[in-house]
Amino acid sequence: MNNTKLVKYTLLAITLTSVIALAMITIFLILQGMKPFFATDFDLNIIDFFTGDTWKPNQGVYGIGYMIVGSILATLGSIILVVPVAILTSVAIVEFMPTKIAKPFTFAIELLAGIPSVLYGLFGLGVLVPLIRQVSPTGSGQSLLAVTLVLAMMVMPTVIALTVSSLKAVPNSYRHASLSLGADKLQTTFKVVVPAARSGIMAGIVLGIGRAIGETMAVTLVAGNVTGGVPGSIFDMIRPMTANIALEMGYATGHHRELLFTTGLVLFIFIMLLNIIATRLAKRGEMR
Amino acid sequence: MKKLAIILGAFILFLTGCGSSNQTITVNGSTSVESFFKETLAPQIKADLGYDVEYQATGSSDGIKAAKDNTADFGTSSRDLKDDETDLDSIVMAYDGIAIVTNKENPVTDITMEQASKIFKGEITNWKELGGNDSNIVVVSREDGSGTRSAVEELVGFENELVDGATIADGNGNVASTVAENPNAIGYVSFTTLEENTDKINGLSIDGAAPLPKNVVDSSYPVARPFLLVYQEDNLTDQDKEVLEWIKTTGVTYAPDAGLIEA
Repeated sequence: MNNTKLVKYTLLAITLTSVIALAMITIFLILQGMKPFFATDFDLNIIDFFTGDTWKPNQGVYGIGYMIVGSILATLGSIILVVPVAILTSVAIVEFMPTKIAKPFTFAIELLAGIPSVLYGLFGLGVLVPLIRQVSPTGSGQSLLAVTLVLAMMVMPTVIALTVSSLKAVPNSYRHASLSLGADKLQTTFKVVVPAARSGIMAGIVLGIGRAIGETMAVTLVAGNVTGGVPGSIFDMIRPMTANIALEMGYATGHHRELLFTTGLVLFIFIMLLNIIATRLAKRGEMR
Repeated sequence: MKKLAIILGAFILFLTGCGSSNQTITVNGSTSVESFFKETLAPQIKADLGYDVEYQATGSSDGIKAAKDNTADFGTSSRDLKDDETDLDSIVMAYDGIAIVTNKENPVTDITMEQASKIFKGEITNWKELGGNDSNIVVVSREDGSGTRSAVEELVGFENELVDGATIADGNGNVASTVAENPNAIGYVSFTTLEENTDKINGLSIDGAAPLPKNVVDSSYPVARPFLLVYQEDNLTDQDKEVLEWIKTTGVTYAPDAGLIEA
């Protein structure tokens, strides 16, 4: 065997490991997660499972509907907070700031992206939760609002970083053409550059959503993790799907344990869909 | 190719090296039992028998499962075995008291067992009903499946009736920090956790008895549970049997050193 071939096959084998890992996780989750619905000694309606608003494994009550709602509301809320701030920040950094001033901002945002999520959680528990408690009618600061704010802080740097790079990728000829047609800087930025970078920005947002919905440690600390009830206000506590798994895996047995895998499967499907959307958006950007 | 063979050989040697060495006892189980086993028993086992102890704190159910599947020499549990777990052997190493705790700022210091049960069921919802401030009670509980939780549910009497709006925190430490952070909160932690956090949280007296080991011994303090060592007789090696015998005769006497109650 010559050297080139050896290298080629070695590289192929290495590449395969990540694909195999993905395949194994998928198969494992599906096998484990679907088990309870086919078990003969266990009667759980799949519709009740997905729409239920109470999770009490000790009593055999398993409903993750309220968790799905909680996860989606928190993610949506954080994205609504993040998108305008992230886009305007990125525009400022790329289009309006001289490099000298932009650099420290870029550095700070990169640093923010590198902070471990548990520290965001501790900040939430130590600072945000007591503040929210002062205005909350429930007497507790752990709430949908706290989760939303923590997620917004966490996701912000990711979205900004991707938006900045897609704005930078817009060819300067676009800007020059727009300016030479008589448009001012502001018009050029928002009518030409931002729309041209749209697909990259969208992909960044979708990745941000993925990060928010999958976040575990930080949200577990500030969510309250209630055992039931669809949140009716931003001061109500929620139990995100990720928290459900992390909280109970250490102690769960039997069907309870399997249903935590099912929760994981639901989460996995959400993230897969988001990734497919992100890939589509990125592709559409390339074609244009 | 020769190099590859050497690397592969070294790797295999390394893997076999990872297998259980004869001088180590592996224990898997309750997070509540961890400090007792690791800090009190392990050094004594090393001194008396010469074995190292490797303790993995992953939870009572995990510990029981590990003993059943023989993935660890021993399991530990901070709750009694369930009906479907009775094919295992177990001994009581010590009893642990569980304290009902509130924030330092809360003026309430004494409640009855009945009041405690009603608080956790959500039937008493305001501190002023207990002579405290006019503010909502925020119930903090451990997660489903936690040994501390099932022990408290059973002992205090709110089995399967925990109020829906309870804040769930995983681990004794998280309950302590959640209660320490919120003046309206009430939760429960093991005596050892309370002892480590007396500067941040208050242990309530129940029916007039303060949460102290001596009150568990004389049965005046009602919220206490066993720390079990779980194993399968058939799976024990000679080394395991030696350790088991040591815990039965000597280990149990160390319970008071760890703030626990001797079995």
